[in-house]
Amino acid sequence: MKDVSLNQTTTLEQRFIAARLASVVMFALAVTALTLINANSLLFPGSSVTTYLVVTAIVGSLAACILPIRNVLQARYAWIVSGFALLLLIYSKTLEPPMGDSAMLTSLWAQLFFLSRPIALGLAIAACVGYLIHAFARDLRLESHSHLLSLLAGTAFLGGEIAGSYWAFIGWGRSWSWSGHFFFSALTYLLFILVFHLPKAWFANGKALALGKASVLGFICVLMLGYRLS
Amino acid sequence: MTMNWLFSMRLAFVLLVLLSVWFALGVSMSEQDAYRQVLRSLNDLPMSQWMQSLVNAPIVASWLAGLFGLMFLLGLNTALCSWRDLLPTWRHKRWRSPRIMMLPIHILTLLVFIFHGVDLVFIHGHDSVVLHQGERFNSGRYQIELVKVDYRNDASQITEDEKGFSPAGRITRRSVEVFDPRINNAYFKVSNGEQTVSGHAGFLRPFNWDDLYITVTDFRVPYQQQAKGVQVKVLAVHNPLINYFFICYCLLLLSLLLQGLVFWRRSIKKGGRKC
Repeated sequence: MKDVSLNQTTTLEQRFIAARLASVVMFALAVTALTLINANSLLFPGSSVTTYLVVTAIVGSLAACILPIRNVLQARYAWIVSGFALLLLIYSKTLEPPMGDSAMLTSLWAQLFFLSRPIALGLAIAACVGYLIHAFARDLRLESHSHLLSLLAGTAFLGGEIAGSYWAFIGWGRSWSWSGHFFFSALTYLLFILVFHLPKAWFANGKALALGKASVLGFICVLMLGYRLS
Repeated sequence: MTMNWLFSMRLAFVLLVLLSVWFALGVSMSEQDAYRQVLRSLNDLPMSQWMQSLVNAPIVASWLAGLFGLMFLLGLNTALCSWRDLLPTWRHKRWRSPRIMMLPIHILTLLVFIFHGVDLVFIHGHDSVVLHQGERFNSGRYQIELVKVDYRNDASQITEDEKGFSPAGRITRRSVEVFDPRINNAYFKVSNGEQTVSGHAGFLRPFNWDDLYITVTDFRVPYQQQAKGVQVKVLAVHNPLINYFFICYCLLLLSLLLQGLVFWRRSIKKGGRKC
C-alpha cells in the first residue's frame, strides 16, 4: 500500500512539475518573441496587433507561473492558461511583423496606453480560467488568485486609460471625446467594475458566484480580442 | 417607504449593466456616419450650445439623456453606499480591515465622475490657429507669438500639393523616419500683460504656463507657400482642472494597487499562498 501511495505522490509531483515547466517555457517563449519583434522594429511597436497578442501571452503565462501548484486543479489551471498563451503566440506568427515606425510611438504615454490593454487582457484570461475551474471543482486558492488577477486587470486597464487620456490631452488638447473608441473604453472598464459588484445574494453559492465572475471576465476577453482583431 | 434600494449593491449592479449596454449602443451609433458627425460636433462645443447640434438628431439626444440619467443614478448610489457601508470602517479606525481601501476607491471614482462632468459643462476654452514664424494670436488673457520654427526633418515630405496632400500624409500617420516629433520644435513667447515667458512646444510635447497649454498639432508647408517656411498648427488650451483631474486618477490607481496589496497579504495570512 505504501509503495502505491508513494508512486501516486511521485506521479502527482511529476504532473505538477510538468505544468510548472509548461507555464515557464511559455513565458520564456513569449518574452523571446517580444524581444525579436522589438529588435526588428524602429520603435517598440506597442500599437501593433502582433505585440498585443504576444504581451497578452506573456502576462497570461506569468499569471500561471506565480501560482504555486499544490494540487491537480492548479496544475490543470497552469496547463489551460499556457495553452491559451500558445494559441495567441501561434496566431501572432500568422500576422505581418510590425514596423514600429509610427511617429506616435515616440510618446511614452501612447506606449503605456497601448501596453495596458494586452496586460489587462492577459490577466483577465488567467482570472477567467481560475474562476471557471473553481466554479466546477472548488479550489479556494485558485479563487483567491483569480480575485487578485481580476483586480490587477481592472487596475491595468484604468492605468492605460489614464495614460491614454494624458496622451490625448497633450496631443489634441482634450482628455476624452465623444467617439466610439472612448465609448468602448468606458464599456470595458465598466465590465471590469462589474466583476466586483455581482450581488452575492443573487447566487446560490460561492461556485455560482465564481461562474458569474468567469462569465463577465470571459465576455470582456472576447470583447477586447474581437475589437482589436476586427 | 424604505429607500434602502438606493444604497444597495444590487442597484449598482443593475446600473453598471445598463450603462454597459448604453455604451455598447453608443459604440454602434458612432459607427454610423450621420451620428458620428453629430457626436464629433459636441467635442468642440460647451454643453450650453449642444442644442444646436442635437435638435436634428433625436436619437443622439435620447442616448445622451439616458447616459446622463444613468450616470447620475450610479453617482448617487456610489455616494450613498460609501456613506452607509464604507465610511464606518474609517470612522471606527479599523485600519486592518480588508475593506479599508474601498472608501477611497469609491470617493475617487466619484471625484473623477465629477471632474468629467465639470469638464463637459465648463471647460471648452481652446483656440486653434495656423501660424508662420513671427505671427501671433490672442487666446484668453494671453498673447502668443511663434518666434521660431525649428524643423529638422526633410520639409519636402510635408509640403502639400494643390489638394492639400503631402508625401508624409497626416501627422498621426507619419513614419518616424520622415517626421520625428522629438527633434522638431516651435519656440513661443507668451505674455499675459504683466509677465512674459518663452519655451518650446512640439507634437505631443506641450508648453505649459499656469492654466495655458500650447500644443503643436501639425507641421506643414502649404501649397505654394514654401518661401514662408514651415507652418505650425497650434492649439492653445485653458484647463485649470486638468492637474486635479489627473491627480484624482492617479490616486484612484494607487488606491486600487493598495487594495490589491491588502488582499494579497490577507491571502498569505490565511495560508492561501504559502509556498
